[in-house]
Amino acid sequence: MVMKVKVKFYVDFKKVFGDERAVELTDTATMRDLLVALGDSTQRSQMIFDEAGKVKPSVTLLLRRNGSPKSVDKEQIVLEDNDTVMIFKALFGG
Amino acid sequence: MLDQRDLERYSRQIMLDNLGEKGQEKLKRAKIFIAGCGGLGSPVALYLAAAGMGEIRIVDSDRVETSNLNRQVLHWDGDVGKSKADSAAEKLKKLNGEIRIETIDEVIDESNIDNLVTGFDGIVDAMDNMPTRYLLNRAAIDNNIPLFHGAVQGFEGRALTVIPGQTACLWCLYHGSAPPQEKFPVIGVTPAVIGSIQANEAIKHTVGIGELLANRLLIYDGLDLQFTEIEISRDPYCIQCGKSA
Repeated sequence: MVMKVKVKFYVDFKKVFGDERAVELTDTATMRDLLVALGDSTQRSQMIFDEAGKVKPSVTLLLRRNGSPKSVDKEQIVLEDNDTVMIFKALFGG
Repeated sequence: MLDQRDLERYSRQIMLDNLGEKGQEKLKRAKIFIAGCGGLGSPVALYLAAAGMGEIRIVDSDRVETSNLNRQVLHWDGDVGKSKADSAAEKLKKLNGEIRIETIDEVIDESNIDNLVTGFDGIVDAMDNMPTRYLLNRAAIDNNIPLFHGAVQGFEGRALTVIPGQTACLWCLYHGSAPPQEKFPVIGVTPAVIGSIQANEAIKHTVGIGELLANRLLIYDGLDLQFTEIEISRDPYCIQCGKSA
């Protein structure tokens, strides 16, 4: 079975990935599977993952599923058909 | 109670139907805590002082460096080497001698944060690192004080207002994520934009008007000049504001 997840990108992610994408994944796919699928070039992968293959601390993920979007920090969260994931960079400077 | 000087000084904002003399009196009675007096803290402090916020407490332990001067507009050429607290106090007292301005040259940490914010009506997060931002977030929640968050890098900015017990907090959004602290690139206009938004949020909350940036993360892209909002919601399992906190 295949499911479809909508991904929306903001600011610098939007400049590299476009406004949004519909990504097809197997129905057991996790957030990490989605991120790996999105990182299909060196530039895109480097925006998401650090050199050790971990999701960068500044990558913020929101998940919209039946209601208001919630921020999620679990790469292992299992996605569902028609989920929307929003990706943007957290800023810390003042 | 407003006196004749207040009525003249703030006449252009008292003219606002939704602010008026009652709103100005609320500003005069209000006490705002500003954490950090750098890129964000400078415009926040300037605009809150100009608006007549009754008491402003600013905490910053840094010294002014030459590389601060492109964006930290409270600090000028002659201030390099001075404490930012002293430098800020000097300018703000010249800007508005009618309000109480207190500056403290201290590092904000777990041991002093609650004492520093107790009795204040709002906390402005103008820090440059996540650990202190989470401390402010926790103190805001524990002491039931609204938090006005801002962050910048390059031409980008973020702003969010946290109403404890009601809206998503900083930890709900970032889950304690804290990239290593490092020097970040920034154009001075970016903290001017975001700091002005933080000051505006503090004014709106104090007066009780408008719609706050609550459960709405504002994303500012100065390069393409776009403001985008993302709806966010509370995490019931948040370790700082959730039920188990």
